[in-house]
Amino acid sequence: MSASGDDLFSLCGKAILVAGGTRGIGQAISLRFARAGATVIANYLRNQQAGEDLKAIAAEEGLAISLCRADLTSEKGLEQLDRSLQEWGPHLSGLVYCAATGIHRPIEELTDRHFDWTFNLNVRAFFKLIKLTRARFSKGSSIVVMSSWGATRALPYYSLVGSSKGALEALARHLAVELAPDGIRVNILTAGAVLTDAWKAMPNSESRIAETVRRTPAGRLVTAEEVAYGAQFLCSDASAGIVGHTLILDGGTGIMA
Amino acid sequence: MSESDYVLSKVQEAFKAAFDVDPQLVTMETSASDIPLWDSVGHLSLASSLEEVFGITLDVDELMEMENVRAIVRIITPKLTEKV
Repeated sequence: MSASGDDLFSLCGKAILVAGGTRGIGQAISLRFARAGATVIANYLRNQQAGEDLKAIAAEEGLAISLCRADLTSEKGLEQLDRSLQEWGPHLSGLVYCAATGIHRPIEELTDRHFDWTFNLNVRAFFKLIKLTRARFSKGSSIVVMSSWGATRALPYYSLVGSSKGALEALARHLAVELAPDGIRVNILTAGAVLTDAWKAMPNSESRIAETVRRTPAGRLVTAEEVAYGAQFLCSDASAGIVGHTLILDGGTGIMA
Repeated sequence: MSESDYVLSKVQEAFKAAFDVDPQLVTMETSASDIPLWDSVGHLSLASSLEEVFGITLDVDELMEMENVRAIVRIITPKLTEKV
């Protein structure tokens, strides 16, 4: 353990890769980690503007955030990421896997290709990423995968994303057991409904948000920043005893009957 | 109507289906930053809508290149020629 006392929650001296780290929850995690002292490499793929925006915030605040644009579902993209990590330094002390995609449709409308697209990024790319980076993780490292309610609960038109998150969680738990003897912890962070621009832009957003809030004991949606604090805890030495756990950050919605 | 105008109008149709946005707001300059629902999940909905509207198939590499409307039009236009 590198920190002590009040510093246990600090990420100083840690080098952490955030996959899918430039938008929404991923962006909040990249910023929170860097503000907590970590050196962050934020991976992204399509949204160049989001990458630029994160870079601008990092420059303004003097945060140690590097960007790496790479498609984690392709060999070429993984090689590119590997090169970036090589330039960045030999070791990693953390990985947060936020990269995710999916399609929300009834089963009759879903195709094999929808399945492949979803599982390729949400599950297979994480598997490949762990294979690629395994040797870089030193003792005391922490890996966190972002999951969602759909891994354990049935939600409308969520069968593909939900089942991919279920597979991701199962993979994370098996890795937790396999990597724990080497001092590498793997945990799962499940976020409930997070207030993001995407939520605000949905049709009938006000009534949808109101309905979710009604079912949430906290009386509001959680924020991306609050999820980021959960991720910080799981990547900090304060959670050194936590292995293979699912931390649910949903304002209490999940305990409602 | 020129070919690019035709493709853009169909792309607007796909955006309407995927994100319920006013088609007139979708221009060649539109990117993911302009449409909050166009995140990683929304991207697959958009890809499916584009496939349905145009009757084409997009491969993963093409999906990944579609970061704005201009790129979408560039990727789709030759596919329409292939169909003819």
